[in-house]
Amino acid sequence: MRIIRRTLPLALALSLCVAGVASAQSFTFDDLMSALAEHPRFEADFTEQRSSFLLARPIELKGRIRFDAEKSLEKIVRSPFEEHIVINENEVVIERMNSEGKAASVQRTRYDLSNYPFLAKAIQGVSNVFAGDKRLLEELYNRELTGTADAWELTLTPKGEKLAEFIDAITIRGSGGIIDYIQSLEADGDESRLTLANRTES
Amino acid sequence: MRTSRAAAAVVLLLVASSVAIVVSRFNVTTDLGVFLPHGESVMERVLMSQLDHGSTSNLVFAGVSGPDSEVLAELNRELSDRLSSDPLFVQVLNGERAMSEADRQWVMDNRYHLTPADLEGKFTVEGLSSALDDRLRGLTSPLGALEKQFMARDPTGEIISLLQQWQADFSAEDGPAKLHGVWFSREHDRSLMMIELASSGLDLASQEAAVRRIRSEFDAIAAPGATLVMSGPSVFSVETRDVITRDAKVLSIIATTAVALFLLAAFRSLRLLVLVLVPLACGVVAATAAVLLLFGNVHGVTLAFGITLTGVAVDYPIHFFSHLRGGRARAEESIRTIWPTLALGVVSTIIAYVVLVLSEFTGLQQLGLFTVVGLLVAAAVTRWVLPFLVPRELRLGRGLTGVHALLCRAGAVVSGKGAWSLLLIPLSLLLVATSDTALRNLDVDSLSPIGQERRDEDRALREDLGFWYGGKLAVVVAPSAEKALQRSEALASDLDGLIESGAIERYDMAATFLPSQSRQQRQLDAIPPREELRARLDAALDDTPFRKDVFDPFVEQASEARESDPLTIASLSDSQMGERLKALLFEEDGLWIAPVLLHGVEDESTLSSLNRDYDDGTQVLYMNIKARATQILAAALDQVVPLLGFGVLAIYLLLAASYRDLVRPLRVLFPTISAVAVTLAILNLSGVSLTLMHLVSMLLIVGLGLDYALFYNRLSEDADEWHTTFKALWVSSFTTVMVFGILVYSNTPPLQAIGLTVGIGALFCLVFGACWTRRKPPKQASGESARPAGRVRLTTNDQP
Repeated sequence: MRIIRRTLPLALALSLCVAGVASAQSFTFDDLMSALAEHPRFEADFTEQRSSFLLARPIELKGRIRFDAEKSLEKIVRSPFEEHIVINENEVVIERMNSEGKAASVQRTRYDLSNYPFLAKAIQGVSNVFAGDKRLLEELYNRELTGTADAWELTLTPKGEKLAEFIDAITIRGSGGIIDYIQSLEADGDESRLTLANRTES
Repeated sequence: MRTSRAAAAVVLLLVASSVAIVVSRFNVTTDLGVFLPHGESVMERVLMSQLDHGSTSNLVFAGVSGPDSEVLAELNRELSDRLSSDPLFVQVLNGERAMSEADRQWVMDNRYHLTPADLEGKFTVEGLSSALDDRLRGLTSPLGALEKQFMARDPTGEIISLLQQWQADFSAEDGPAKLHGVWFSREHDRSLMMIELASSGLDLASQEAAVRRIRSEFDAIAAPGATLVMSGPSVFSVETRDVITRDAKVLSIIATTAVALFLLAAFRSLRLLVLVLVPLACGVVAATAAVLLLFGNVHGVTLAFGITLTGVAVDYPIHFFSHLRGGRARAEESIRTIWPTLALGVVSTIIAYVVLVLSEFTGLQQLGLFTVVGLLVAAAVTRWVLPFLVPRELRLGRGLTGVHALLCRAGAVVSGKGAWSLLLIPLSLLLVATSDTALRNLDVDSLSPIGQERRDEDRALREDLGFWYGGKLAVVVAPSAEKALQRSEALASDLDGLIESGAIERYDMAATFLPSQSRQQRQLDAIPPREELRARLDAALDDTPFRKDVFDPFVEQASEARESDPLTIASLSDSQMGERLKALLFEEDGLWIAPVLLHGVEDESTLSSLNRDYDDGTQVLYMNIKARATQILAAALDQVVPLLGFGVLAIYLLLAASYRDLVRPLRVLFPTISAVAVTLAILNLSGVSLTLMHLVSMLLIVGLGLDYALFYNRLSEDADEWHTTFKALWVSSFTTVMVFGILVYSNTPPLQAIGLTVGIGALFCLVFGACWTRRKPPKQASGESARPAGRVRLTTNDQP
């Protein structure tokens, strides 16, 4: 009995540990990817805090994000200015709403990024996470996943030098297949913190 | 006999030196532009330089088609990689390659000289303020990383707009479709690339090497089902030469064999066959040498064509041998009897070809010279060399007696009907005048063996690549590069108006890439002095989140630019950009020419309103290359017709002088003119419009017709003599029809045209010549009546 009394807490502690490890192991990168892939279309409000070595103080952007894994990632900025940004593979289209007095004009520019393949990949990074594109993320980034299925944090760091010219790290937090925070740290120290809320699936 | 020996020696020496010239200098070209006239005006010079070795002559447009678009993109990339590292190519553009690092740097360093934006507005406080707003938006956009590269030194955003303009020629909006990172056709069924060859459009040998290299590199990597299509001027040059060379080879072998067999059948003598070819061979060698000496090269068509035209010379020895009475001992005497007729034929034929030498087409000049020299030398060899080559005894058999008898009977029917045949001349002309088929074919492309299908392919590739096609452009001509650029800038605002109104889609001009010095100076002057700029910037920076000191590099560099000199065209000369610009701004004979390439021309009528001579000595001309080429061609053809008239008059005078008779020459000229008229009518009624080559062929008919008519006129009362001459005539005529009939199967339109025309014409020359003979075939003893010529009593035995 003494042995039992002595060993029981140990066994309990051990089994708890094992259980803990087991539960951590039970939510893997693969699991996260398939969870994310289950939400191929959604919309959400965003608030983005951007700081830059060029800026004396950070600025805050607000608007709505619209994602469709089949098509594109759209970012509709409502303040402090109005802009509609569409991100496709190798292409960014920006519609700029200028409100000068009463007459509002729209200026549309298409940027072809085929000549900047790594910039294109960097821009695509968030879309890849939204889509749960396991193959691409594994190819381009080192991945570190912590937390549980209900509260996970994924940190991506670029594998290659070319991509590292643009990105230092991307940190994404979420719960299950739902992302609610993305932090991008750029190579030059600039930073963007994006919070998502009021999500609707379509 | 001594003088003949001397003459023979001179002729042989001439031939020998010709061989030396041909061997040492042989150089064939196949550029069909030489069969187009070279114009006199500036416009025509530009036109010709565009056609011959214009801005696109060293470009190859290529498309890879196949079932799987990802494979097509991969093949495209791999082929581009392989070719890029090959010295045969300057650059390969397939949508994935950016500008060279040096060129990018140059554009960035000179952004205030080059920018299309108006700097005066941009450097005000309001301008800077609005630029800073743009930069803030840019910084927060997905393109922030790109923006940040240039932001501190270029807050007004000149670099990005310049890179968009310069990068691979295409702005993102007008460029070709893209798939998997490379250019694709709009239907996504083939991946595209544009390859710039290192060699110029004039160096066919290295162009050929380059085109073959592209093909072999593709074959080395090609996936099953994937095919490569290439087009562009250099590809077409190589294809043209291949076709012409192949044609010339195959057809000359077939023609030679057929003629040899026919002559063998007619005369049953191998020796004679060889001897017949001697004058022709000598003539061709001398003619080639003469063209090489005068022009530096000989065109493939000249060679193929010239040999054909000179082929008439086969008739000379045929006439000679037919009249040969006795072996070598009497050769000199025999040649003397026919020499006056022969010489008259040669001289009058040559008069017809002199017309070509006087024409405005380099190609025709070559051809004229070739034929004149070829015929003269062939006649000289027949007259002075051949008599020495005749064997002691020449045994001529009498082959094809059945044919001869038949033709004799046919001849008897038409003989003396000359006056009737004259009626055919007005009848033919009437038919041609009332026919629906256009008399002349002025399509420049009709000279080329490149078919419509390949032309369409070329157009489709260019269209998909967003490359200029259709040959419509405005040309700025000016006394200096600066004035050309200034005029182009002024023109640009007119053109922008035309884009607005939908008359054109867009345009490419040198001034877009290199503004005039006066514009550059204006722009640089619009940059305020350093302190002023700092003050304006600080005012603009108020109320923005930007750090105040971030834009110090901008103040620094803009102030530096303010003090710098404008760029000249010379400062560009070493860069890839300079290479590209050379096609859009170049000097020719002291004049600066800046073609403005027009894309998507919808309304041509408004474009001619651009034409103007300005007070500053500059000139703007709208040009439709194809329409203009057609005009020039028409003018040149119209010029040839009166020349032909003079030619006929000259021949008449020559004959009149020689016969000392004003009527007899008509008996020689009428059958020839009838034959030409009837040929014209037949071609026209069968729906053939006359190209330049048909016209040349008419000259050949004149030559043949004269030759036949002259010998018809020699037909004597003596039965033997009569049959000899007549057989020589129809044998010559049949050989001609045979040779030219074979040309109809050629793949080169010029050769085809000539074959058809001359084949028909030669036959009619024989028929109409017979119509104008006074004498029917003399009656011979029955049983002998069908005995034709070959009645050369050289042998003791009449029977072969």
